[in-house]
Amino acid sequence: MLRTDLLGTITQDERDQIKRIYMRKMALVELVSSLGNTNNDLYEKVLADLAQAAESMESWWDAVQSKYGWKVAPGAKWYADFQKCQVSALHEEQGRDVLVDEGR
Amino acid sequence: MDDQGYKLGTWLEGTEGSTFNITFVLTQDCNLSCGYCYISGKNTAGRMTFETAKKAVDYCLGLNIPEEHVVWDFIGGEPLLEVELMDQICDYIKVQMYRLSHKWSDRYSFSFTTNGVLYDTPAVQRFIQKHYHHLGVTVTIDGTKEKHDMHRRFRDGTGSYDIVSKNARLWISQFPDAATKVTFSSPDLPYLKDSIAHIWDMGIRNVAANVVYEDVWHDGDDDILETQMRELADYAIETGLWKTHVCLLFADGVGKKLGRTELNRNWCGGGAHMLAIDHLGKIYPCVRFMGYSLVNKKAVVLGDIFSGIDTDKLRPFQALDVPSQSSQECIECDVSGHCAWCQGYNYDTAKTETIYQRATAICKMHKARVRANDYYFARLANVRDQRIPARHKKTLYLVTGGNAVPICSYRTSAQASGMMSADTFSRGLEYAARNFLHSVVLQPIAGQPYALPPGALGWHAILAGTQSTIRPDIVVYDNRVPEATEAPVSVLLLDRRNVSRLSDLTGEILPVTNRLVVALRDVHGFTESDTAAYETQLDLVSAQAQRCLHSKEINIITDRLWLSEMHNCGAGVTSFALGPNGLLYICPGFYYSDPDRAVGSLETGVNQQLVELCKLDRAPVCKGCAAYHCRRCVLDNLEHTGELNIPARSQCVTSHLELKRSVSLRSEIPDGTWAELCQPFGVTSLDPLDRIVAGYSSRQVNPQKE
Repeated sequence: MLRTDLLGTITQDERDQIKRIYMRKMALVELVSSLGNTNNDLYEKVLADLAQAAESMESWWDAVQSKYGWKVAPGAKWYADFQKCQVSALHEEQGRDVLVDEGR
Repeated sequence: MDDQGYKLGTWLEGTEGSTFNITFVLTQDCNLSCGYCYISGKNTAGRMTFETAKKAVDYCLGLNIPEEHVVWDFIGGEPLLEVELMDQICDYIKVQMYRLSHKWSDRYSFSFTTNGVLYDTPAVQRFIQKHYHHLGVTVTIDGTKEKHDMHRRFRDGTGSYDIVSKNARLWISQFPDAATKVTFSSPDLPYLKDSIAHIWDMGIRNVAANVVYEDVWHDGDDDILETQMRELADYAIETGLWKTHVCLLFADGVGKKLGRTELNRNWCGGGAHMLAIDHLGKIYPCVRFMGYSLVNKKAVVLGDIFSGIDTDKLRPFQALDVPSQSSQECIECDVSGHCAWCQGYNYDTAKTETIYQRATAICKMHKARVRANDYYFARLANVRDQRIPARHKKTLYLVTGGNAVPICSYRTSAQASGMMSADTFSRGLEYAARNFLHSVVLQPIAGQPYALPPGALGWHAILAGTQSTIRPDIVVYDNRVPEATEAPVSVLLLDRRNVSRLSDLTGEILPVTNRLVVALRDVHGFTESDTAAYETQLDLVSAQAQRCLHSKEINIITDRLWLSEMHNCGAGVTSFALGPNGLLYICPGFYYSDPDRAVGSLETGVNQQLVELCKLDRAPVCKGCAAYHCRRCVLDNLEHTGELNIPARSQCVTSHLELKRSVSLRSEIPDGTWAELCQPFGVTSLDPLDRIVAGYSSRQVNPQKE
């Protein structure tokens, strides 16, 4: 089960930034699964780009967390709702897997 | 629930920014044999090879397409018959976009529409898992088992519902926000409400439903559609599903009159924003221009992936707009919002080899859809305790009796003393609904108000201070403000003797309204001192207007700022009145001035010959005038000049005093606020007839030159 705590609202510019990073990251994640054996030349480059996208995402979260002063219990996952420009914390309860692609 | 507070009536969320659609026709084979399928030449031969697909991908990625996003769409036949091929192509697309650092490399999605039969197979599930975050899947399910199996059958004639409904549950668990697509033709219209309710009950919240464009409709089908949609609206209201579920038969833009922006667009994106590629590598504007989709015409091929697109063949698609392909009736239609067409079907049924000839078989079905939307949005407003939206530009004033509240400068009279019967009231509302008129009930000043039934599109007008159980949409103040009452629109009736009190009264009303309409009476009797007093008052009202210009309108001052063409009262053109006697009039004032001046009845409608002179293009003094905000009261015209289309000088002078004040106000608006929104305008003479007479005189001076 999941419990959701709304932390606050981000600006549209901030939403656009994280959305771009997220789209980039997910494109790279799904590209990895499509590379196959014939594209070994690309593999290292994609992984490097993926690491960079993940780093950008972490930096974005750090920036908004610092800007808005949000505090979250350890183990919670962050979630950004692109449509509503809202950020929430998702708390995992009773051992269910949590699949949050928009957060960290 | 979205920002509007409701979902049913909103459109499905799409990709932000512009999107180009590239369709791969993987196969012309299908495991079903649906009765209404547009693919007329289904076969097993036309399978795309991976080599062809790769060339197609490379060709498309080399095009300089301006759209920010791309949808790589896979279609058949049934595309899941070729899921391994589809997977290969998707892999290739992703790698190539990355290799090229293409702008679409992280702005893409894959999409396919399936009949759902193979959805739960391991190969399909592997594909979904692999491309999940960039995948849009539509499983077509038509509704109840009866409706679905009516068309969607295997080749042996057995229905596919049982398999598809099981797989649809898996699909919606994987894609909770996905939409299914439901198409209605004549025989299955009676199942519409049950079908969509059934789909919603299956957990599919979004339904992209439409009626077919083809000429399959019988007498009475429009009534069935309207009834079914009304029942669906009732179901959504009563179950509360209007808050969370979508069916695209309902949308707030359905039935709105198209504005200039919409007229300059094309409904269909074929060729301009999409391309389709077949197994031979031929490129089409969309799949509906392929040979297997057409009955009467040959395929339209734009080129192929080997030698490229002939851009000249693309130009007709890029230039398409509404007027260039529509009849005059369609262009002028008051309810054409969301009236859709298929460019391929237009082409297939056109009398010549053209895409510039709209098929209109859907017309009566669209109008039924509009009426059902009117009903839904009125009921929605009721249930949300909100005002009924004014969805149509044209109005029917229901004059409930001799003491109905006057809404303009005309005066009520004792000779028209009867009350409207309940039957006439009911028939009047029905007439308005069928003719897409927004009803405005002019309530009796005293006595029991007339109530609009749930689902009726209408407003109430009452006199300020009247004890009424009705929440007013229009409040009328007759020379005084006994009690300022909140309403979106307020009307101030002002007699000549009270002109010097104008700004005091407007100052009291403005805080409780969004739009204030001042209706001057006895203008014909204005003396010079009245005129001077009016000019002084206009200065004061202008100052009031300037303080709330961002949120309030005062017709005599602010209307002209925002208008780019004549926008007058509209009596006899965009509004009519229904008298208590069941007859139709140009406006309520015509009923009160002479009940014999009817221009039609509920049974016969309006006799257009009798209202022809109400049109602007038949008014020589007015059509070149700059006072776009002028009421251009045709009753005043008739009473003082004897002609509906010719104004008395007094009306022109009054309007031009207002125009002068608007000119001044515009110059007083600081730059960077609202000034850029209103076009510059000026005023010369106070009477536009002067210009005509001057022109006539000059022509008489040198008649031989003409």
